Amino acid sequence: MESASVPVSPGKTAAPRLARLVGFNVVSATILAIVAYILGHKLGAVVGHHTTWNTASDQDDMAIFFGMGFAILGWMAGLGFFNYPLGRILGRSISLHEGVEEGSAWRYMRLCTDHKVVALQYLVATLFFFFVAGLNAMFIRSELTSVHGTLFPAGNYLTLVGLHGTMMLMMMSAGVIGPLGNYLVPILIGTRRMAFPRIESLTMWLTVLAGFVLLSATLLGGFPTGWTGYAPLSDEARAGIDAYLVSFLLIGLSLVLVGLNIITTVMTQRAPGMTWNRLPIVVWGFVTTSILAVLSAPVLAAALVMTASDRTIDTTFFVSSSGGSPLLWDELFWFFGHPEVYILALPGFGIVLEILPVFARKPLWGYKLAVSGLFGVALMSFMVWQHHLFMSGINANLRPFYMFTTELISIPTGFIFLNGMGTMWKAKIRFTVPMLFCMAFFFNFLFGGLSGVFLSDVPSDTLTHGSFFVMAHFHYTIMGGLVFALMGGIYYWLPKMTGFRLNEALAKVHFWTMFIFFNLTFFPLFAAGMLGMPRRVSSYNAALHNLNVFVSAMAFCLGLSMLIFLYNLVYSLVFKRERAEANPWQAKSLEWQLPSPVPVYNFERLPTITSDPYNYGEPDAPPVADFGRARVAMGEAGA
Amino acid sequence: MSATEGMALDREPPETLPRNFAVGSKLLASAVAFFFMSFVFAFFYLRALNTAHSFREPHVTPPAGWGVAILACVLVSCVALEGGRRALTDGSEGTWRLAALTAWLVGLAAVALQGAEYYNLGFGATSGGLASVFYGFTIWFGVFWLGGVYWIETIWAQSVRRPASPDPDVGDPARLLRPSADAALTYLYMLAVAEIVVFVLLYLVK
Amino acid sequence: MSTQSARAGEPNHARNFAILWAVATAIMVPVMIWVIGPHIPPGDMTNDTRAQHDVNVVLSTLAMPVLMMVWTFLAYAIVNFRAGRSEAIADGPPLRGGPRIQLTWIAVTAFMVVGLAAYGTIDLLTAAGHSGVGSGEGPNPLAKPASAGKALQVQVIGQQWFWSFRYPAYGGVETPTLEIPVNTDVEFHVTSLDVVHSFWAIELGVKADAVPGADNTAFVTAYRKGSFQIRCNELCGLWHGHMNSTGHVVSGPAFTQWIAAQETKYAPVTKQLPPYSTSYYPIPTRNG
Repeated sequence: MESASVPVSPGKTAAPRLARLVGFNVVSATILAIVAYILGHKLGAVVGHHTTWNTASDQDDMAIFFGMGFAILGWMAGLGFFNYPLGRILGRSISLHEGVEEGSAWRYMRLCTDHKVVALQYLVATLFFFFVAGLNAMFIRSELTSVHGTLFPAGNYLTLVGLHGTMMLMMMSAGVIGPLGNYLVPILIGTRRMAFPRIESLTMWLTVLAGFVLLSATLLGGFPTGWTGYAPLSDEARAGIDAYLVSFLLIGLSLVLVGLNIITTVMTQRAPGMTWNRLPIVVWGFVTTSILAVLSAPVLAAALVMTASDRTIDTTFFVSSSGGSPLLWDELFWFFGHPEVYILALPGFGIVLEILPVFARKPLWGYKLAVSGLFGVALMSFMVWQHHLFMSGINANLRPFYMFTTELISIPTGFIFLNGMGTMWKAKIRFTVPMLFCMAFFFNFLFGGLSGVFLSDVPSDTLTHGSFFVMAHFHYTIMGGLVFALMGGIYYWLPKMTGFRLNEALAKVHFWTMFIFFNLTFFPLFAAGMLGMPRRVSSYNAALHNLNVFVSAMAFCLGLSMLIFLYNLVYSLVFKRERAEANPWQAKSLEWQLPSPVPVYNFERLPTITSDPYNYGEPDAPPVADFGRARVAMGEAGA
Repeated sequence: MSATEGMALDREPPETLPRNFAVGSKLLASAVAFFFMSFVFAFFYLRALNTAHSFREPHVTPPAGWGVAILACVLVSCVALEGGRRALTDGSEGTWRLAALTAWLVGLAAVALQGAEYYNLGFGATSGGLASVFYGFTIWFGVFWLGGVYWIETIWAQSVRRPASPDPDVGDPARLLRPSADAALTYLYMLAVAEIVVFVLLYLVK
Repeated sequence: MSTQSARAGEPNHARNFAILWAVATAIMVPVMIWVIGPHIPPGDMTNDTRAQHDVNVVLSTLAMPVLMMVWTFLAYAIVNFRAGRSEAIADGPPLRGGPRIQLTWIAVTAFMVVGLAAYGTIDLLTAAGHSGVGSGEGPNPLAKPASAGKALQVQVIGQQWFWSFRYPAYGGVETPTLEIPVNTDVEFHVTSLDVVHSFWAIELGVKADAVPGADNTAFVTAYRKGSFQIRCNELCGLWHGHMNSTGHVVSGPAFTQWIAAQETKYAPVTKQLPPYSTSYYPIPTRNG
């Protein structure tokens, strides 16, 4: 993780260790956030006393929202995110770098505009919350081993369910474009920075804050709505739901900013020669994901602030006795919610199609088809959302239309399979761990996609809507699809990002146990749903007891397999620290032509792109880029 | 301070930053537009459902005078900045500075007027669907508009102070004034459209 | 792909794969229709469940060729398209795409998908005697059986955490248990008093969200007597998982007897209830 080749500028010696604690970093941010929460809470109590007529509540939502709002400001201030904006009020110049120069490991504890540092910070953060959410899942499955669950009190169980879902969705939305998007996009397009480097760092730190804010729901009484936050249950819930609202809002903001950053970078900073049809497919995946993020997350934000205002200044957006409607939440939430699941799925498609050619030693088959598939999915995902509402009593005339659009979206989704099969056709496949995860992706996503066809058919959906069938469907697409692709991506790119190898034997054990136990856990849930088990219950039909015990046992094994992954990470990166070569996979794409880890400036000379990265098997194909052309344009401000 | 001091790295193309601003501001405007469209949707949806006949309660009549005043400030602010942008193109920096100053001061007035309006409304947030949409729409418009005012102020402050940039990739900050103004105007015009929609739906539609 | 000239001795992969795929499909399709199919839920108690069952069998059967294609392909690739064990990494053939295959794929998938949408729409609107297959259709159902409006009206009222049922044709009596007569068209009007619930009468094949202030209509005709589970299908708070009861399909005379007994038993309560309405609001207590 060190870039020892970059000389520290003269006159700036690394500060003494203890003194570094006092400064703009995560420690200051935490302290300031807590202090600010307390102040905000007091102020909010005063404001609430004067603006609402709900003064007798033992859980003062106005105070809590003020507290959290101030805490967010304190967190940002402590990390130093206000230094630049406040300086700009006084006319300070635009600058692109901050926190890059000093020391090595300490950069990871604060605002640092090096996109590679941000990517690794993101990876640690999202993996941490992924494991926390996974632990919640283990608790949920423990509860479901008995027909009338008695392990957890009802409120705690629902909070676990909500935490698992919300944390997974929040973190996995950022889970690929955060670590891998931020790392790869500048390198793969041949530039040194993201378009807005400070904002990039902000999105990472907001994601971390969001995770902890969500966990704080447990201190406020938990929340009973699950990740979908349906109103008016959200309006009437205890204060834990405020944590859900604030954390989801932070993630929504983060998503918009990440998406904005990625799209701007790809549109404006591609190196010479990087034409649109030489752009690596994984970058296309990030771009299409970003389009969804930029346009759908604001709608979520609107729905969340409507709930917040219902809970504080007593608006009645979702209160049907006062001119509001719960269906308004449904519409707004799912208008975001459906693109959200494609925000999760599309990066997975990109990763898989990027890795497949390397280990098949063949070009990506059907590049243009793949790109149009990604765009087709992205654009159509805005036109299908009412399939989540087929049973909700929406206008019956709309259902055939949304059935049609939902069926239609499986056409571009299917392209990915054709691309994958075409790439593997007559290939010379090396079964490395990343390749295994990619092939498993196709196996798993197939079940996810096919079950989606069932759900899109309204007569069939009458049986399966809201049941464990839906659970199986989205776990197959999101965990079986995205998480498997992410695991493949982590095993593939971590040597480049960190400069260290991961243990291959452990990786293989992780893959096989994860693949087998994932399928054994989730396939039976299709049956559970069809046999009449609704979601989010702790009490179910006794006839389904054995099935649930089996699933829980398999889920525990799946959890153990994830621990193998965690062990591999810690063992290889912290203890063994075996150096990785620059190009262990003999890949042709741009990032593998650079040293591992990539130096802070990415390229000594900005490259000129001469080919797409998929020209395996083409005898006279040029290399992906020409690094020799010195575009020496020393700035007037001095170098 | 560049982390690469001491190394002979080539600079990024000078048109990169202006293009970053141009694309970034369009994306930001799109995102904020979708945020406001959610409230437009809420207006029409709740109006259509009219649950408990409580969408528009009898005493909920937003005062048009205030609405006109706020809208006027928003539009004047945009026009002023547009004038300033043209002055920059023509090279008259003095005119630009005056126009930009006007823009953000008048913009600030719009926020103040919006705040004052809440004490003169005659209905609270609990008064049905329209009232809820009114409060939601106007409060958040105020927040996003304030962000726009901040943006104008920072560009104006740049041209007043004329700082040198420590960053070789930025170069002479004066060259970024026009792209910054362009980017800010993209965002502000989107907000102006949103405010027109707000005005029509909340104050005019019966 | 298959038109690439094969080197001497190289097997005809396209033909081999096609044969394996065809064989696998030929095995799995009948298995799905005749072996697995009959066991697919939700059973045959009502017109709705029979229609849903048929749809599920059709979809499962159509899924078989797709499933077999990908599985056969993966297995074939793992066996036949491996890299050699030598140290040197050899590249595969530089195949970048085949317009004919892509167009065929797009055409076939589009045809299947549009066909499924058409099938689903026709099924939704006409199957089970135009009952809407038991799904909640909102206040203005599109698929209405001939008896709509004249069928036995049963209002399902969801609240935290309890179902009650109101029969407008029987004096608006509200009962804590659900009984319906066999071979009779029933029209459910589902609503809620507080948060969003969902009325799922599992063996009846009826699922309709209970939204406060809204009226969600669903139709069913039961063909066999028996009992069915009622579960709440939308997270509604602490005891969502316990919002269960058992409903019964009984003979016509038994129903008449039962409902008369309920009317007598709950007469004092019925006097206190608000008049029957498709949705109920609490008395407003707010100020402006």
